[in-house]
Amino acid sequence: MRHLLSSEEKETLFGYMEERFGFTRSLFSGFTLERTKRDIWLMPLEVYECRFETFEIEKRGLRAFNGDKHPPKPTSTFLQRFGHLFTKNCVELSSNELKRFLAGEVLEGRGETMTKGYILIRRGAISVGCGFVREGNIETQFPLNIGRTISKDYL
Amino acid sequence: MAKPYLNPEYFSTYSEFIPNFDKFCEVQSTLPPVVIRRNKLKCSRPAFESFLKRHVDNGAFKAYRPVSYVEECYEIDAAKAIVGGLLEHHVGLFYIMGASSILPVMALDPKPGEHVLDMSAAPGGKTCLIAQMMNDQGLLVSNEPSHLRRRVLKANLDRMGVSNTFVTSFLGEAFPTSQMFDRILLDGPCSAEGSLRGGWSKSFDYKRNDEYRAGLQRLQLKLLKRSSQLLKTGGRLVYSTCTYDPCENEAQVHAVLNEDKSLSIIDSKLEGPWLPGVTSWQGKDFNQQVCKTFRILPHLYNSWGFFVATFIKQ
Repeated sequence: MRHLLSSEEKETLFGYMEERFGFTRSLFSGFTLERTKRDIWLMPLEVYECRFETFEIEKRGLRAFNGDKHPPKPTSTFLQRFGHLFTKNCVELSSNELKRFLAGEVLEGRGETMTKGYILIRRGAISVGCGFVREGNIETQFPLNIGRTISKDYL
Repeated sequence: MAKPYLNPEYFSTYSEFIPNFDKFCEVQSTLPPVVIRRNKLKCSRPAFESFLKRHVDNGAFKAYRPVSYVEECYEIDAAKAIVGGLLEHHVGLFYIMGASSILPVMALDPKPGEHVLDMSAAPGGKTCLIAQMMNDQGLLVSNEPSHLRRRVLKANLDRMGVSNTFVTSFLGEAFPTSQMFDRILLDGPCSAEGSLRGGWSKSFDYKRNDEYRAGLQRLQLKLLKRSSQLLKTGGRLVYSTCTYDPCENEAQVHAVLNEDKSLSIIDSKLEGPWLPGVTSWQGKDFNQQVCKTFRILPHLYNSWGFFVATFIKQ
């Protein structure tokens, strides 16, 4: 069942994004947030209001959060688009670390100074995707099927 | 089995309107350059230039240079497989596309906040570019009837980080008229002769015969007519193909102009080494407005062959 995020749901989401990533709520202005059964989608209002009589929605907007997780997990698509605006819980990986991250390995001790939760992985100016810090280690949340197709020679 | 379209004989019927035909055949047998376009939604120009320089330094690229007549495009001296395997490609900092594929979108000239339809949107290079030109605002409906091609389209929209897009799966000729659009791109199905440069193309089946081509032409005209119905008054429609055959290009423009008097052709005002559309073919004269359409030929502009017509609705 699709519906616009209620004020309460928005408040929870914006508060989490601000606290965890320093992503201020004003950055969501100009976008509408829609909840589906599993996810939260981001789109301009015109896209949300677009209707076709005989049509099942194929894809509308950008899948921003995996909404069945608590707290919601920002998707790779969202992080790669907006990650440059994050100011907290961002980890810069070296070339070798990134190779291991993309291969699905745990980066032991690499998140020692961070609290448990989702983080943004960066390589230089590139926002790569999502990681998860647990007991000081970084676990990958990056889709492994995509990670496998990235050339490791020029990271 | 030899591919007939790699033989100059295959294109010889077009020699009357292709200047310097021997040079055309020579270029047609070479691979087109690898061209990438910066994704403005994700990457600033200085950051992009530093990425290009970094990959020259680390040996991924031998060199790179800006492409003439189109913005934000760079020709890369590297194999396409290397460029496609880069992290920057997977996170959507750029899109690999032929320089001539960009020109129909430049002719469309979409603006932020408008309602735009891309009638045959897969694989998504043009749709992502439209979204960028709209600054990811307004409504972009990306329609693609083929399930398999739609999967590629959606993956590319995700990769490029586009949010203003509604993906639909209608047969273009039956697209519902409940929504009207400011601008429509119809880069429709065609025989894809322009994309045959340098070798075999997945999009081209060399068994295609006259019957197949006639069916394709009927479909193109239906799509053009439906696009016109979906266009707001004052709106702009761009019809493009990547083929040389005038039956799929000027003849279609001529047919729709004859049937729909609300449409007229305008000059796209895009500078470049293009040629105007042909005014007659196989004994048939076309509406003189086809002079304002343009053709891109690979020996005059180092890319794929293309045809572009820009209509306006009065």
